[in-house]
Amino acid sequence: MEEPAKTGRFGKALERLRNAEKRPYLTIREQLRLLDDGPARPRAAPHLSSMPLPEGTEERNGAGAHYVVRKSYPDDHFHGKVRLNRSEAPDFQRLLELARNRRGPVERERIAFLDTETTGVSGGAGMCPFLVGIGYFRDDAFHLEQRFMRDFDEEASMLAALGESLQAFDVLVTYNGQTFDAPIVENRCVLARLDSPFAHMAHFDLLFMARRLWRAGHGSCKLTALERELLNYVRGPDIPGAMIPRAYFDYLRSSDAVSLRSVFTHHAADILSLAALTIHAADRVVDEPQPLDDALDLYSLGRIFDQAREDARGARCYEMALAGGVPMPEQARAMERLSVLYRKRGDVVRSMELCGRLMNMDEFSAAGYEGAAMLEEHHERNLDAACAVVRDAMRRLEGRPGAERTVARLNARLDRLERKQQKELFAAAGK
Amino acid sequence: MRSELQVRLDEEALARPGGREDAGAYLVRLRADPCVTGYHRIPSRPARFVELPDDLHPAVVRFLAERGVTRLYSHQGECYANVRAGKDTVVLTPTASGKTLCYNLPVLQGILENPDRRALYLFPTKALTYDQLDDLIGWSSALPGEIGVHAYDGDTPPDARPAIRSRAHVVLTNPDMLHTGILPHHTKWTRVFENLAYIVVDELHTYRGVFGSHLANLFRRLERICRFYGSTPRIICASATIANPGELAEGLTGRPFTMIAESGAPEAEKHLFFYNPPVVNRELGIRRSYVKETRRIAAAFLRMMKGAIVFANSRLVTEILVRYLKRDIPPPPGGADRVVGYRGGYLPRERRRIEQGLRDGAIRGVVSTNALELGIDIGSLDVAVLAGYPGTVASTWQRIGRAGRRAGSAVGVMVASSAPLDQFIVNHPEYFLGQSPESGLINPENIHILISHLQCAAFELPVGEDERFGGHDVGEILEYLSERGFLHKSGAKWHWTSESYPANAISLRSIGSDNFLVVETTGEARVIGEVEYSSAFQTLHQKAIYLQQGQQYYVDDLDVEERRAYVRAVDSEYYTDAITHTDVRPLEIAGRDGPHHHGEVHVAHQVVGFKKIKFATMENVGSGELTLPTQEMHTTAWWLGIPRTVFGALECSSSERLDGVYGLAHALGEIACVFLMCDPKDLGTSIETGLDGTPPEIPAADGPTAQPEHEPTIYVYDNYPGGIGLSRPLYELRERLLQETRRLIGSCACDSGCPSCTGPAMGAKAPALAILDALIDGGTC
Repeated sequence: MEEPAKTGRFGKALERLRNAEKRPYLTIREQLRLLDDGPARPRAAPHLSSMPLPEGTEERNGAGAHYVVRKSYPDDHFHGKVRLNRSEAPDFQRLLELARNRRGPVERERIAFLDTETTGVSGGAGMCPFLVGIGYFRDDAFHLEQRFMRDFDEEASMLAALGESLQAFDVLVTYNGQTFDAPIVENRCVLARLDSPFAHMAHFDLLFMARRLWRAGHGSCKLTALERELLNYVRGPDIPGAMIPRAYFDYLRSSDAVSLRSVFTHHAADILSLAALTIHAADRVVDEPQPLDDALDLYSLGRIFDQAREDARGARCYEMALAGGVPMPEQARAMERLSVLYRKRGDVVRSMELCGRLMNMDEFSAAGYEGAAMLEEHHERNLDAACAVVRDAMRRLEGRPGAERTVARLNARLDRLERKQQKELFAAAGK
Repeated sequence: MRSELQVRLDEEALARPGGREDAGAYLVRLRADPCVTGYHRIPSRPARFVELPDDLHPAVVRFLAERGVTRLYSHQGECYANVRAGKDTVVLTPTASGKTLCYNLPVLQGILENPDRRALYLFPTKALTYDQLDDLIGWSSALPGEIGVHAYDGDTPPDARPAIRSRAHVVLTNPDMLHTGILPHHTKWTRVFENLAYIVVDELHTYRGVFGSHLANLFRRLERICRFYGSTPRIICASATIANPGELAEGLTGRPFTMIAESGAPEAEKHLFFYNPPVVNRELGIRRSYVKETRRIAAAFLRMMKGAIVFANSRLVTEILVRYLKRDIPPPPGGADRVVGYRGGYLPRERRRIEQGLRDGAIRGVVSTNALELGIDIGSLDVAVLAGYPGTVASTWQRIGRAGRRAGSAVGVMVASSAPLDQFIVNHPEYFLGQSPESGLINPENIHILISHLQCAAFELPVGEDERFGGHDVGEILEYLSERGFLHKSGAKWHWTSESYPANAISLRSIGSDNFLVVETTGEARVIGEVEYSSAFQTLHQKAIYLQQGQQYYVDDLDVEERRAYVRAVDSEYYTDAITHTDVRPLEIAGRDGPHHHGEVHVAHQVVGFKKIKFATMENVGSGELTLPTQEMHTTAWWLGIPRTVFGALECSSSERLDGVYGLAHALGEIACVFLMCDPKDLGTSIETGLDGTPPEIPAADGPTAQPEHEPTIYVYDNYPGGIGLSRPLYELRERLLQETRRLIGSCACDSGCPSCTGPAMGAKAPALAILDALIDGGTC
């Protein structure tokens, strides 16, 4: 019903088409000309009075040159309320131990406080640390060393010099460096075919400890928030973090350091705050907690000692937190942990009392019921009471969504208790 | 024409012992059905074997023996020898020809010889990845030396990733993960890249069009990273039957390939039927629904206890057929469904369960979108029924190939829809059978794609000023990017100077990270599926009936910001069909000839409403309006302005004239697809009526401002930002396009226009032909 020629025509058309397709559609240049996505961004016009970099020196090594800014802060320098030089090695050591980070002696002069400023925060090989700095103690002063790449061809020299400098240290302290600064520096070292500058060091990321110490009581654990609240340190005009990459890119194109100077100031403040906050954190775990301290902070401290298996100190902090009126839900958590700590210590009465309070709360506390069941079973040797406690708990959880795992656990406990009950009955009957 | 094709049915072949008489009789009846426009028998082919290579590790030989393999098919042996000789190899592998062994054998042997060696396997879908992972885990547990085999994709838990990066010998992943998760983080993969010895690219033929053009650039990036770490991996590609596997592999990787085209695997005898549903209304040219005909044929085979796979071209038809066939073939009392649906949007767990059910026979029938077209091992099925022509020759053979994977005879039935393309194929089966499968075409030099990947490349590793990218001097593009602040030149290298992570902004295909989650709120809220961004507005708009596994869900709310749709299970008598409004505006004319243009256009899609269509009768039972965000893009188009003189001179009412334009656009779009042999969704058509408002001012590349008068314009555009080079060939072939379109409409059996020629517009045939006549005879083309 169709002309047989049709296939032929189609075939030819297709052939032509395929040949046409093998040629590029348009040359790259033609396509580029057709691109319609607005005009190019005008190059940053050089500032009328172009600003130089902060005062520093050029340093050279086998990989080339880069720029270094050095400062030192004397013995009596205060960063906020913290005098940096009052810090002592044993305090740092105590902090590192509680962070389960390092055991053994720590020398104050072998700790490097590190921070970087980068071209972005997304991660990946294309993120570059353009300013890397370390702070350290030497001869009763705190020293700051900021290494800067004036362009990408100085990056290798900067990274190599950082590696050199760090040879003199064996503990690295950072703020979120575990997930951010260290991987970024290491990525770029791979690109520059250099070894990791941190390979020989123990890395203490203060952010994790800061969260454990202060998140409950202070919410935000951003360095700038904590330095203000805990160190009473107030920065002058500061560049927002999000603007920093832009400031560097502008400098690259214009060689005008007008906004970059504030990045150097910001970076220096970050390293000083890092050191000062580390000292403050060490004080916090070394100093005897006081009943009038913030109740949430006391609770947080209790958790830290508790997790480090320092039961007595943990219990003391929890008690003080409860006495200080710590709010829910931390109140319940403190009671739960205390009931466990007292039970371990054999203080059945105190433990039972806490479980009783937990079971009477509106908020359901599985630990309260389970603790009570354990005490009834093992200390009071009252299996009936233990079963009753577990059944009570299960009644409260009935039909509650998301409680499946708790219910399963309680069920298993009840099964075991009932079997034990039967066994004892048989045993009694046998006698 | 049909008489030429009357190959005598080899009835003996069908009347095999073992209860197949019923099926044989059915095939004889089907054969005689006047709706069958073509029948073709493909004889079986015996296997060709070669001995196992001498140098194979004894543990490999033992493992093969345990699986009953004591010899290799000839192509497997050839591939092994090639790779061992250090050649980049592409193997053309029909369905079920044992392609996995083609690459696993040389790779595992290589790793056994040197445990430092690493291999990267790329699969286009996660489902394929896990299919192959199971197989490889079987190997690794039988071989010495603790060969690490791991999938690394979006489903890999973050805490498992570091271990995989350092321990996996074979990493199975997909191009999207390589693009966003591996290459930009190559510094964490030093172990792998320094020792990368093999890259396996499975399902090579899927990497064509947009996806392939991206892939070619992805390979350029991969190559750079390998060069940086000093490795030069061998590449092994496996492809289904396409016309140009070697060319495609070379275009994708920029390397010369050795091709193995002869498969040594045995092939079952196949009976292939072309079925055109009968005309039920000649005046309107309406045929019986191809969906119902597909259902009838598939159900007949399923009742004969035949394993059948049904392919549909859209998710909607898939779901409708699942519903129908579940009703036709009910589960045994208290048992699980024997007919299930299978498509991309199902969650991985559900897909695994279906694949398993098909393999062990608990599931007899499956209705699938193209998701099962690829080489997932689903065991032996007897029949493949295609609801509608898949759009390409290659895809049709792939789908038919899912039947009869092992031995015996198999049946394939292509049921034509009333779409012009389907009608063309079903009325010209000899055209289909004589046609070599399509070429896999790519355009890696699409400027949008190229720019995207150069950004990623610069992010991954600074670009040297003399460095070539895919053999091209890309200095101008680097300058362009630098002017826009993305790059900065220092020394002799371009560095990435933007805070952004470029790979995240670039999707290699429409399915990417930007999927919508479907959340069922009937009971406890749970995620029941995923829908890609580009089709979410069509299927998940408010008040839509969303279908999955034949279950209907009513969409309560679509949260566009959060990429979530909230649905609840309902039992509805209707389904919904979204109404999309498309607006095309020309931006720049690159070429012009009379009423024909090609150039850059701006396209805006908006889902503006929906229709409710009753399942049983397909009648329209209601509608609703919607306000959803517009999806916009720049692309290239060929467009045809109908001159005022032509349009005004038509001897009919103005509404009939417009119907004529709509009808013409419909037919042109379909013929354009046949010409380009592209997937119908790669092209879009749209009409600017020229009646509402002032026509836009168009800056012309040359000559005066175009289109000074109001005139209707038909746009056929490349349905991808920046275009993949489909519109210029249409412009080049404009004359032939109009002639073939006139032939299609003119020779259609209907009276005044029908879905098989001018589409849904009634009475469009005469005005459409008149316009074509004026354009062709008026010498305006």
